[in-house]
Amino acid sequence: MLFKNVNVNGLNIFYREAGNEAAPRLVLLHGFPASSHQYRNLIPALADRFHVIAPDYPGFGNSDMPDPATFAYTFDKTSEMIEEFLGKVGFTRFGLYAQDYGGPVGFRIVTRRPDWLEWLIIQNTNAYEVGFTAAWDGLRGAYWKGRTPENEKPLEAFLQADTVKLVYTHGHRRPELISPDNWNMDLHYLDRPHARRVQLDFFYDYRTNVQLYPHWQAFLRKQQPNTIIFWGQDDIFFTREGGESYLKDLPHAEMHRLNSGHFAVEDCLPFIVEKMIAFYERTRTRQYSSPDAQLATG
Amino acid sequence: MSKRSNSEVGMKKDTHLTSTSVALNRRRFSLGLPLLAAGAAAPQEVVAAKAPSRDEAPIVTYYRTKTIDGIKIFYREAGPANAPVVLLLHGFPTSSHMFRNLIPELADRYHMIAPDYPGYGQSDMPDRATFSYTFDRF
Repeated sequence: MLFKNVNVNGLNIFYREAGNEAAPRLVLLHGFPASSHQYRNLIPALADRFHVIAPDYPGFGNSDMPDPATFAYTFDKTSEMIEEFLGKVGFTRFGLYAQDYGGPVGFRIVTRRPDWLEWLIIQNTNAYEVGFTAAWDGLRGAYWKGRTPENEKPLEAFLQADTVKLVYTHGHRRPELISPDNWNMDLHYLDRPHARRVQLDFFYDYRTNVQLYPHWQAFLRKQQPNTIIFWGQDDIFFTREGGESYLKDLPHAEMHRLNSGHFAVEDCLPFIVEKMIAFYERTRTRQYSSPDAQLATG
Repeated sequence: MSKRSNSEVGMKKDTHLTSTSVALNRRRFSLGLPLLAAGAAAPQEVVAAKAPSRDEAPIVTYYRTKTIDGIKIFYREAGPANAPVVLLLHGFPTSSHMFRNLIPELADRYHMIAPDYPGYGQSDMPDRATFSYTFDRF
């Protein structure tokens, strides 16, 4: 695996990369409150079949985090930055693995660039109003209707150590399988200057995703991308109904209901890898392999 | 177009108990409340994740703790219990984290174990007034 950086519109974007450059491309987009670190084990597990990259969004992980006074931490802006990043590294046709925030970022990109999407992997990322658990009540009931210091205050609980840990452990049957490196890494990033303000800005902007749900659903219905869904059944943020809803728009999708939570890769990695590769082999429409392939990594 | 198939990994037929527990946890997590007692999401039961249908069992690293003389010691563990044990002792200024990739590489053949010393990584760090941070004591 390589740990690389590229300048996108003046900002340093960090990304993890592995696999053969001639192999089919795969983009892994991360969730809250994580970074490409959440894919540290998935990347090498997929790299013998795919050319995999996983960027950190601005304000997350090892990418730059400019002052929120000078940079708009919105899903629109994030998706523009990541679209630019993908063009720079030559990823203009790929499988998209979207988890949590990866959906709002990735759906924006592929609805603008439908020819970029080869196939779709959905894992606990929401596109339906029935997908919200009660954890969202403070946002949906007040914050998104009018942002005030009073209704923002309780949302800071999401950024506290116990909560960040809970996002990783809730709904996972065996806590000893979940590496504490996850929340320790996230908490390290969250302790940087501006980081909590940046995350609150994303909480507020998340309302724009809900406005776009009908647009994304129509895109899925029309395009019918080859789609495999992995849905942790006891996600602290997203309901089982949220996962099932994709099947209304994607009736041919392959659905795997996992006895897991928000970060299902943490305890279902071998299963996810096996099903992804088998699904791709069965549904792929393009042949990428080339005899003079160069190795991207050792 | 792919043929639709569905699977449920490790899901029990009767999920009533699990659903009840989730509903409870959701209420406690709701942001209208002061919430968030540590361990609010502790599962009701511990069920082995169903192994994928492969010939070999996948390598799994466990993240565990043991209390030694009142001090919580964190350790990473992987590999068969009856395999030869390999003890991995970390350096400065790191922790068992430095072995995160080595552990699964060797765990098909060895029983790997990597603790964090007191004052390092995720083990307890008692006040130095009450604990002597010496190599003898380690």
